[in-house]
Amino acid sequence: MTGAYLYALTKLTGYNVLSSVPILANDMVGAILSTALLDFGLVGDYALFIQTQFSLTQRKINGHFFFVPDPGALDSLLNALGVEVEWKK
Amino acid sequence: MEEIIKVGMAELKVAKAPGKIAALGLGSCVAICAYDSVVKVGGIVHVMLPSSSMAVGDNNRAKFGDTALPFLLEEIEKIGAKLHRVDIKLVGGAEMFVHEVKNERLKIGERNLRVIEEACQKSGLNISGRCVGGHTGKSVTIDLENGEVQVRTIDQTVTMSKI
Repeated sequence: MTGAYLYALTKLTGYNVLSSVPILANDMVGAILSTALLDFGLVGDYALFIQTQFSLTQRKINGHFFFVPDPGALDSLLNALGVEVEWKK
Repeated sequence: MEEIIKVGMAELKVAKAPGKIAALGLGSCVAICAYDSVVKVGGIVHVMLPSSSMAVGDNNRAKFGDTALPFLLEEIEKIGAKLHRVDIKLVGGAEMFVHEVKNERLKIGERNLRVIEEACQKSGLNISGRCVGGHTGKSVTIDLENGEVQVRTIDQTVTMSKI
C-alpha cells in the first residue's frame, strides 16, 4: 500500500520518492506519531499530513495513512504539488 | 470536571494545586515530572530530543534533554517551589520501532534518558521514580493535590509511589 501511495506521489510531483525501511508498531497513536516525527524536531516544528482515502470496490477501509517526508524535502514536495509555501517562519 | 493541563511535544507546563498535569502518548519522548509537596506545585516538560546541539537554529528549551531540566526548575521556582524539596520522576524514553538492525540514530529514547539523567545528577537532584524504556508508549499524569504520578500504557495503569 505504501508503494502504491508513493508511486502516485511520484506521478504527481515528478520526483522520485523512496520509502524508508518498513517497520511495524502497534501502540498509542501519539507515541507512534511523535516518534516517527522526531527527525522533523531537529529542523522545525511543522510536519505535513496528507489526508487520503482508500477504497476497494466492495470494501471500505477505515484508518489513517500518514506520510512523513524527510526534513528538507517538504518544500520541494509542496512546490511540485502546486502549494504555495507561506506558512513557514 | 477537574482541569487537566496537557503538555504537548516540546512544551513545558507548571501549575499549582488543584488540578492535574499530563503528557499523553510519550514514545521515545521523555516527560520530566517535578513536584514540590510542601507548596503543591508541579510541572512537566515533554522532551523530544537529546541535545540542543543537534538542532538548527532552534531555541525552544523544552524540546531538548540538555536544556529542559534547567528550564523546568526555573519555571517551578517562579511559582513557589524550592529546589531542595523538588522531587523528580522520569517517564517515557521507549524504543517504539524495533529494528532487526541496530541503529544508534533510532535509539532516541535511550539517548534522551541518558542526557536527562546526567542533567539531574549535575543539578544534584534525586530521581525518585522511573517508568522508562521498553517498547511501549506511555501517558503520565501528576495529581497536583497529592503528587501522585500515574502512568498508563495501552494495557495497564500503574501508580508510582506518592512523592
